[in-house]
Amino acid sequence: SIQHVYGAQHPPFDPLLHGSFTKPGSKPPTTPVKLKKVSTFQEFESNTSDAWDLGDDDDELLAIAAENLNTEVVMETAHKVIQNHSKLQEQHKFQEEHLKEEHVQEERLQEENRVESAELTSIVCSDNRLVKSVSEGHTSSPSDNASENSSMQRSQSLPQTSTPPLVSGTADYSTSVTPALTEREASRLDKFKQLLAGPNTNLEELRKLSWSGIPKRVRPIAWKLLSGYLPANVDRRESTLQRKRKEYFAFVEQYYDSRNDENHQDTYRQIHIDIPRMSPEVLRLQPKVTEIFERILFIWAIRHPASGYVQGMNDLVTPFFVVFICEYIEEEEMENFDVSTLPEEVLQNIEADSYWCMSKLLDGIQDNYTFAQPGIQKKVKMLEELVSRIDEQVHRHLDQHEVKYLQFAFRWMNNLLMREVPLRCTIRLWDTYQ
Amino acid sequence: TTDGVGAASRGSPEATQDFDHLYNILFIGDSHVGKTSFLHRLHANTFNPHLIATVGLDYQVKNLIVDNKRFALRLWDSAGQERYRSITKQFFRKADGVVLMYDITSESSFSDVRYWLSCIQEGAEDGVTVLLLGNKTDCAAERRVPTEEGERLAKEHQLIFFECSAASGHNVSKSMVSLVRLLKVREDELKIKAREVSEPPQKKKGCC
Repeated sequence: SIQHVYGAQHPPFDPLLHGSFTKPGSKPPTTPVKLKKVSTFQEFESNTSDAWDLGDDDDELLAIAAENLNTEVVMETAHKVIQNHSKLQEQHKFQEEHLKEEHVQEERLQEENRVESAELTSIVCSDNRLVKSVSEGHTSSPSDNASENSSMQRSQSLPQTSTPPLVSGTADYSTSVTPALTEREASRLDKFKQLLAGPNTNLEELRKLSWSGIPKRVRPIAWKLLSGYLPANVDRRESTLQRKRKEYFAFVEQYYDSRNDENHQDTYRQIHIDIPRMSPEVLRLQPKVTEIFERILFIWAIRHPASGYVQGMNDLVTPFFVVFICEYIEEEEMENFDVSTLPEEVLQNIEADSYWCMSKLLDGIQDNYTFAQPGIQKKVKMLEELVSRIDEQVHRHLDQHEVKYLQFAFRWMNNLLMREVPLRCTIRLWDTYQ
Repeated sequence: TTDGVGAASRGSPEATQDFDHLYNILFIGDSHVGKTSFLHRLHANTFNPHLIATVGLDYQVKNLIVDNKRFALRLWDSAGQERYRSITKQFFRKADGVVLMYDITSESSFSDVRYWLSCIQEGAEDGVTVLLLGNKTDCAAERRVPTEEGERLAKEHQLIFFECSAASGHNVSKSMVSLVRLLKVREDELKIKAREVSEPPQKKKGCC
């Protein structure tokens, strides 16, 4: 049977969740559908890998889902979920407009900063999935102690044991098992290309299309547009790139030498010891890559003194860097690629683009990293609220065992789930954050 | 093993329920001193030089048999970076014991011990048991903090003190066993105190 996961916007149809959606407050039904125990992320991933190359619009997805499940209930639930999410998104947009005025934002060029609202919604939705796996684990093993015991170990060994190369794999959109694009993929790529061609790219359209995944070939440009780094107008793009890249290297010129000054050395030291301690997925942490990451993070940190550098930000550079470098490398080469063989100018462009796109992302979530990390505390509270509403049993169980949400969900929010899922899934997920 | 120390079996999922004593132990100290590596050594008895920097809090359970008693240790691994302290501070109150770690090759990590002690004083229960650990004894050539300085500081603040190496395994279980023994002593003392409070010593009820 097929298990459907529709990216961040559409949580999987889970009989348990469904049960509590239709009858709020009532106990989840003693499950009529057998739940498979999902013991590792890899298993979960392989069960749901079909989700990554699925289609175009909600109705089509719902139709496919309906074949396997009771049509009426599914449609009802799904529509409800989608409605709720769009409502939520509106709310956040509204709140954000107000917050924006208070925020110290250096980049006011963008017409709208959707990063936060999209990000919040995505967290809410993707947590549905995480909540689901927790509840499955619970039903299948009465005691959680064993999994508590190994959770830390598992989370740390995950990136190392995942064998598939970086961004590639069957899951990635544009690179299915067959080297040639399928008809469907080709038509999607065409749709993107048309949108991107201009003269003015409709960002709303682009965002909508991106929900179900951005083809790899157009991902760099799509991300740059959606993040607000590049203007919608085609004719202005090249000049913007030139200007912003120049601007970034002017920062480097101006600030980077101060990294060993007394007032900056702590920041630099922290970045310097964290980069080698990152997930080894990233191009084997070649010296060249380390240098680039250090510069990006240091410049960002001293230009944003309210938060400065916080551990976890280093992870957030990775998706941008990897996506942008993929413009220049065949992905088969990725795993053993020596970055220093790329022309210096290309590397500089990638560095500057990564810096600006990461800045755009962080601008929207800066309160995650300011003193006392209010953004994270707020999101963890939201998660708690959400779980208590959709899966009371899990909520009660955690409570009984005195497990605080902050204990396990802090990192999810702080690193945008990057420590919990493989990099290529993060990249796919970020198609929907932008 | 010697000293009546051994790892409890973890055969059944309920194994962790089968303990005589349960302690929450919080690991604190500057970033990169080796808290996670120490825990990894304790847990897997290996050294992994590629551990990722901890974010927020991590958590694991370790079962130990000490002096024929079964102990379940809930080990809380905290991130060392300043920005996380408001988050990790929330967990000080829960701790029965605190492991405060510094890196013997880093003077600043040692001078920050005083800062961490003030965090304990502020956030943890009074009289919480503290183990001071100087990690990385395998890097003898780069040592910047003499053993005596650690000893002196420990004495001044009445802490248990060990130097250890997560890389070689030196003093890793030994220091934890000392901590566990002290926690047990303290628990017993508290129990006696509690009994005294609930059952006040009976005064002679003389009739004349």
